[in-house]
Amino acid sequence: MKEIKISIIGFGSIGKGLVREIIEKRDFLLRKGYDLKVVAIADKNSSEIDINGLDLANVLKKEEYSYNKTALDIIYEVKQDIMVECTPSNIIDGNPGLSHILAALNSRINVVTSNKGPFVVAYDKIIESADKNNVSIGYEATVGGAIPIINLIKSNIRADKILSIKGILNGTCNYILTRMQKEMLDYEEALFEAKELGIAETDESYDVKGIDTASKLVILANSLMKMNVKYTDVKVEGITRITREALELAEEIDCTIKLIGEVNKEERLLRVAPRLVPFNHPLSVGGTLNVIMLNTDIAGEITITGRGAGPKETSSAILSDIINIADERL
Amino acid sequence: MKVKMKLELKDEPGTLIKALLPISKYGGNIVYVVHDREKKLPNGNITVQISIEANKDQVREIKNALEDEDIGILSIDEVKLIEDLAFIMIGHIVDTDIKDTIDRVDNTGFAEVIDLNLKMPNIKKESSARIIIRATGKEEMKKCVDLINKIANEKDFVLIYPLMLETQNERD
Repeated sequence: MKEIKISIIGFGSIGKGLVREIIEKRDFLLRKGYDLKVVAIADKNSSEIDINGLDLANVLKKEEYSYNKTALDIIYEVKQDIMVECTPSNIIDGNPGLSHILAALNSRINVVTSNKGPFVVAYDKIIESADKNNVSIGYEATVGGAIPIINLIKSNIRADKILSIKGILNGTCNYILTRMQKEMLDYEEALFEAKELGIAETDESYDVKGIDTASKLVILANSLMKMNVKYTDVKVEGITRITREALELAEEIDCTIKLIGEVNKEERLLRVAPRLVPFNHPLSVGGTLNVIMLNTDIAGEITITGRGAGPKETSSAILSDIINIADERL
Repeated sequence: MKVKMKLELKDEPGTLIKALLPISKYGGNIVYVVHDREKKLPNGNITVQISIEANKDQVREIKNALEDEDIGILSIDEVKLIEDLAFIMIGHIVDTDIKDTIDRVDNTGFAEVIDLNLKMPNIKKESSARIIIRATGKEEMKKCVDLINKIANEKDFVLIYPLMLETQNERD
């Protein structure tokens, strides 16, 4: 039996969703030989700590936590194998996630995260810190939610060079465009509906302006294609000016319009833009689904689709990274 | 340019090579050969479809050589303009001089707008247009895409490219 002690830094919807899955999967993981213990959780200003493992069902019920220790206190003071970083993403300076991640790595704690910001602003620095300290960093959850794109390439597509990646990396945009097409809604109407359903956030700009897609593209380009690019290298056009009429015109030639993120190494092209996608093309997936198509020098095209966001879907990626690290390091 | 030819051959050993030799002799590049022995013509002969890349003079010489060899040419589909792409533009398309947009493509000499479809919901809203552009080849189409991009930037259009833009070039 492998004991895995983790802390969860950032206890919003992703952190809580992860705890729910850990409770749900406890017996399953035990049977597989993993005794996963959450030794600390930290919210903005408060935390729960139990070095023998928290009573997770009880933690979920709480509205206030018992300690006023900060995330950094927990990283420095609580003995743990893996720090799971789930604070909100910030692509300007990567913080607070970046400081948490670097602190953990430099304290020789493995890290798993769903937080894009740190990887958009400081990919190299994070990877160097992990290498230098001989610890692992798992970031599958930063791109494509439940779609195992990073681990797929790192573990299973070993000898191929990735020539290009394109796909739908934002479920909110996909939902809005799908509804505009299916129900012939205007952009504002579809956006309103997405907000009512909780698919779009109150401030939707991060999604609909293409910023989220561009951030994920930067992570894919740096981590899977060794391109060493920044957010500002991406040409970004969102979906805010897409009209119902444009979707009609697309439909007349058997196409739809999707917000596609695309990176091509040879052409050094990084672009987020609405594109005409034929209905029968593998990238033409509807609703909130995400889809990623790789083009490699040996395998050719590989397409993978799945749910791109949400606490449960993200937990799938986080748990996979945790177990991978347990296998490698513990 | 790309040329598709449909030839009639006797169903005997050696006839296909006889049909292919003139193509290489005159410098044509074979893109594909579909040799279907299942579908026979009423006279028992078979057809073969060949797509080649060759210039006009080469095509003429190949055609003459095939006729000299008594190989029946069922059809030559000489495609002069081989690249068609559809784009959608959103913006103040009419107010920003739609004629200028079309003329600038047509005046390139290697590309033209062959279809334009415009939807204008009401005067306050941006209109949407689908244009289909035909260019004389891949390189020409690439130049044309750059031009359209430039026009879209100048006139503040959202330009919706076809997805296959790069993939087509990668594959060929």
